[in-house]
Amino acid sequence: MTARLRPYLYLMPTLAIIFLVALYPIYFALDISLYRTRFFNKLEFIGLGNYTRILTDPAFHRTVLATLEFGLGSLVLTLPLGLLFAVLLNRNIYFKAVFRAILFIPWALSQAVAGMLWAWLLNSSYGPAKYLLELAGVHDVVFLSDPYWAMGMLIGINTWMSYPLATVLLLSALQTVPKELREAAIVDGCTPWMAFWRVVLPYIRGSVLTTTIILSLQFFNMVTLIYVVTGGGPLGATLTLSMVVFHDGFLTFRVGTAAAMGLAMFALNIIFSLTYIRVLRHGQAHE
Amino acid sequence: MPANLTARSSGRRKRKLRGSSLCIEIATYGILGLGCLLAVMPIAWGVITSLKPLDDIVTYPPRFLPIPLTLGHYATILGQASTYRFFMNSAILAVGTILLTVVAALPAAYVAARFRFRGKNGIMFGILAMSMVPGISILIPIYMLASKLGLINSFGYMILVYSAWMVPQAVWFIKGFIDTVPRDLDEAALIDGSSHFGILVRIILPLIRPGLAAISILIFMFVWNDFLVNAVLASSEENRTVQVALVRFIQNTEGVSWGDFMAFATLAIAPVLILFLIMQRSFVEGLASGSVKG
Repeated sequence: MTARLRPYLYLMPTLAIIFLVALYPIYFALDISLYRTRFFNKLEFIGLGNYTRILTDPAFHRTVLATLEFGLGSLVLTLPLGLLFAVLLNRNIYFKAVFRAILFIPWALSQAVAGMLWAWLLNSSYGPAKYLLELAGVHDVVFLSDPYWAMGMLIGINTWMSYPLATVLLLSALQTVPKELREAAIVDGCTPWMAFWRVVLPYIRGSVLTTTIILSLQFFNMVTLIYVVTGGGPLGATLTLSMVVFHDGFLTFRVGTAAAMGLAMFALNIIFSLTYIRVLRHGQAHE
Repeated sequence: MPANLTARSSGRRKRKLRGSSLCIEIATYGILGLGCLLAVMPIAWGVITSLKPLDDIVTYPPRFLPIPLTLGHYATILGQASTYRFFMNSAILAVGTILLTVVAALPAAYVAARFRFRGKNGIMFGILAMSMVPGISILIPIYMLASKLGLINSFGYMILVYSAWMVPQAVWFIKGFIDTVPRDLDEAALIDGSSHFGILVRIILPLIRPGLAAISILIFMFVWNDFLVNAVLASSEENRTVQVALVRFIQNTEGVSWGDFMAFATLAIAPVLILFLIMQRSFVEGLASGSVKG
């Protein structure tokens, strides 16, 4: 009898922690998202009122747009850059360990520190970035106080911070590609470039997809970097969904709608993750 | 004749390839070098700033080298008692989370790797799904629970929150390592009269030490670098972590001393960076294999 219960006993600590601080809060958020709130107090039950309020809020349109801009923009830069470094680090080169160690450094920094270091580099009064641009003849650049520029800068900073993860995942995938496969393609008359596109990349397709999904989720849920660099501004240009949840929840205390939006984000995460798991299962079935 | 022709043309192709491979070689080192430069540039600029006297910091055009050099900003930061407090808080949370997470995840990973039992797939899938709950989605209820239960500023609660976020990943990660330990070893120990707990502690634990080191570093980096949990759950300055203290430093409305700030930031980066550089290989590989396999 104890033997049969043993697995559950061993799982207890993990399940207890998850229940207390992940599952129960989800229920709690669900509950509060159905009420009108003032600060952190529930007032009256309004059903899906918070959800409809989010959807009808004129700012919501802009939030979704900013989220897509930030997420897709970062992805479009991070993935190819990560892949490029992975391919180069996978070659037979000198000082490989040194290159790898240095290239991975941004990964060790927190979002807060990375954001503040860049903000200082882009500082509009004393920053070297402005100086170098002026030397190149570009004047009056306002990196973080112009809505258009701010989003671009944020995407750039995020790319700087996130490419190492892509490189790590794709490098380990590239290491599984049999050498003969690529060599055979080249013997058959492929240029190295063609061999990469037609043989190597299809071979690691699964990992590329995995990496895409891991990065997308990370960008979608990102708060600290945006909070530190732009605070969602200027003029709400960098208020993504995740920033709005943080902003409404802890700065303007519209807790009901923030909880509702947080849950909507969770749902989107699940949809993404299920796709991820399905893709992985599919990949394993092929192996 | 045709054989001769093929030989000649393949010779030409080889030569051509050698020429283009030199270009590829140059491009490889060029791109990697440029990448390395960009990777360290913001950090280098921060460190340079931390070594410059105030007048040289707030000047335009900027001075690129810290001459004259000063350690005054470090002296200022290290002269404040609160600095030690912030570092201590971050360390307590990181170490506490590592201990709680590993202690909770180890037995779960063990049964996941070695036992068959009713509902296993469902439970393991549930644990995996929980690793995909975004922190921001449950931050509000986590704060409300803390305030209801009087746990604002409680390090125990913060450690619990961090552990809840790390434990699903840890279970799967450690399970992967236990899978590599041959089952014959447990069976031999069982025959010798060892209990399952004994097997876990005396046989498996020593063999998966590299894996435990890797997950511990991942947890350390996550907690040390996190801003949100402590920002939301610590209401008094003395309970702040390094990250939160840094952000509040910059939000100081009376004006920021960038030299002091960068000295503080440099000190905050140092422990993680050193750990990261020393342990990079082992945990990068662990992470990569973990995520790729799911």
